[in-house]
Amino acid sequence: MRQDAQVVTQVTGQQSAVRKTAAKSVPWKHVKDHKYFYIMLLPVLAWYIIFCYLPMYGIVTAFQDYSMYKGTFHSPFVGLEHFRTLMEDSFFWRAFRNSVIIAVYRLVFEFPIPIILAIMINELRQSWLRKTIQTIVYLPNFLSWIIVASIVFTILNPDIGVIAEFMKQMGIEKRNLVTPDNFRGLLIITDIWKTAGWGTIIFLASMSGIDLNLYEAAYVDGADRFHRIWHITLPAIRNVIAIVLILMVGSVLRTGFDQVFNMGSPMVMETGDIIDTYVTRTVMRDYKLSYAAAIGLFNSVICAILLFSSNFAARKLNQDSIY
Amino acid sequence: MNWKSKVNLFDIINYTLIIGFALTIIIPMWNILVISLSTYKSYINDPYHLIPTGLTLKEYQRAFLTSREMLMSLWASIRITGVGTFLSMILTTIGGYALSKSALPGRKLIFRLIIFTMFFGGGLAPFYVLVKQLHLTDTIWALTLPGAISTYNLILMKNYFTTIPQSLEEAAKIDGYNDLHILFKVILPMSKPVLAAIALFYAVGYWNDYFGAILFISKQELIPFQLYLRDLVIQNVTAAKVGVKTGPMVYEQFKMAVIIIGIIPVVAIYPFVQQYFTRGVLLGSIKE
Repeated sequence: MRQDAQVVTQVTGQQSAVRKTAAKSVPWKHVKDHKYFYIMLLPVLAWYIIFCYLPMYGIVTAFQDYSMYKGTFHSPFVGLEHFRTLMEDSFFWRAFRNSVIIAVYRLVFEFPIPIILAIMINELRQSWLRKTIQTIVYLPNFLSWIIVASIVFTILNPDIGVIAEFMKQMGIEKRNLVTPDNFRGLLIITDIWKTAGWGTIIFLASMSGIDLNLYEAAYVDGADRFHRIWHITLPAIRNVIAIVLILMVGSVLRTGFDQVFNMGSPMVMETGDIIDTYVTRTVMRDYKLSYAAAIGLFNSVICAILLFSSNFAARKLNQDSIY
Repeated sequence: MNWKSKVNLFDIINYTLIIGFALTIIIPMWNILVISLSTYKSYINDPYHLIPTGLTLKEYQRAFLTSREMLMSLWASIRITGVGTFLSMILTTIGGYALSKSALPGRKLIFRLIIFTMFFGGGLAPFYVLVKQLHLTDTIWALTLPGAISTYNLILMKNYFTTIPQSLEEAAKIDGYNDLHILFKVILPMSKPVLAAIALFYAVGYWNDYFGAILFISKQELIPFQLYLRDLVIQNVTAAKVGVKTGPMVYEQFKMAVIIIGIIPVVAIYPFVQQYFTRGVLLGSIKE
């Protein structure tokens, strides 16, 4: 028995070696060897084809006058008409403008917060406090925006909210606290509230790998707290920061739908309506499927351009990139 | 180490700010909890609702005993989360395992095709049309199939599986196991923490999801809890949701109770599963 096992090991060992060298050409035998893996991939690939690639094909409806009744193959072709309409659509450009402004706000204000917060948490001495704080700040990330919006509206409610009550005591007159002017700020602040804590995880993980002797040595050399953070902690997470930034730039125009959809109202649409909420209304309320497809395509292309260019820029600067 | 021992101004500011931030998270939820538990009288009299004076479970009774819509939505969410997580875990696990096999011919191409979907998509309109044409409207599948695989979770799963030593699989092969057997009988039992982490990510996603229901569901039985909550609190469609005719002020307390009902599952389970969440994130970020 043992001898058989040894022989088998030798044979399988040789087979794996052969497998590895022959993997580049794909003889049919090798595909058959792995047949179970292909069986495993089958439903997964089928899912991607149906729910990811088929809708991509559906982009073709952006160039048609699509009607569900006629379907994709019988709806008349209208070329770039929807895109021409898009250029003239002031509501779209309002949404586009808002999307861009909010995206910039996010990059400028929201991006540094998890980093700063991570540094602050990292500087806490007591381990129990660190763990407790981490548990608390991770939590809002798992609440839905519906719940968070509910909480926000309760707090800001001009009739029963805590803030309104405070204002009353101060003698400030009662007024609506969610206005077109402060809506974007509200979006940023609440998003920080919800996601900043969770965002610290990846930075804290990187910081935990820093050699403590570096801090000791810096202290001996006379470096104060800020210097130690600036020269030891930050450089150690430099690569992580770069990657997170790249990912954020690529996705920032697409985020925020849940937030705006639940916290928005007709009153704040002037400053709060973003591309995704505009598209949703176009589909759900106006039922203009072709037009919505055209907008979606336009948006996807811009996001793709952003992602590739930010990755390209990062490579040029010799930092880590995604691929 | 003496560089740690001195407490200075930095520390004081640091501690204050951090504890302040943590309080901004706790206090609003506490506020809502207090409102939901207050008697009507103390609700009217206490403007801040931060320290409970009179306590009652009236609103929760109302929610669980008289609001049929709320109970139905809770049950719908439970079903959706259960079915969805199960489906997602099966697909993500077998996909992640197959993709972790570096010797698999065509793996790189398949992987690239999958990653591509993270950056480029069809958009809402074609998606909406697709689900309708598949006749999935008003079924639980409209809420579970389209989001079944999260590419991000798939990558996490794959990264984890690549860390399992190949010798284990080769030993099992000698024993006559085929690849499917290996996955289910050998690999999975030893991967429980990872599976737990990713299952939790999925479960939270399904529990919080409402958009699919807005697009595709009109049947009362399939309206998820989040959508019920949204109609109640954000859209202020109050009368039908509460189920019983009451005065306008009472609606506020009822709403608070429902919000708390929405928060409780997450808050209750969360401290115990937090470690799985953080582990799951770290899994995906450590480069091979």
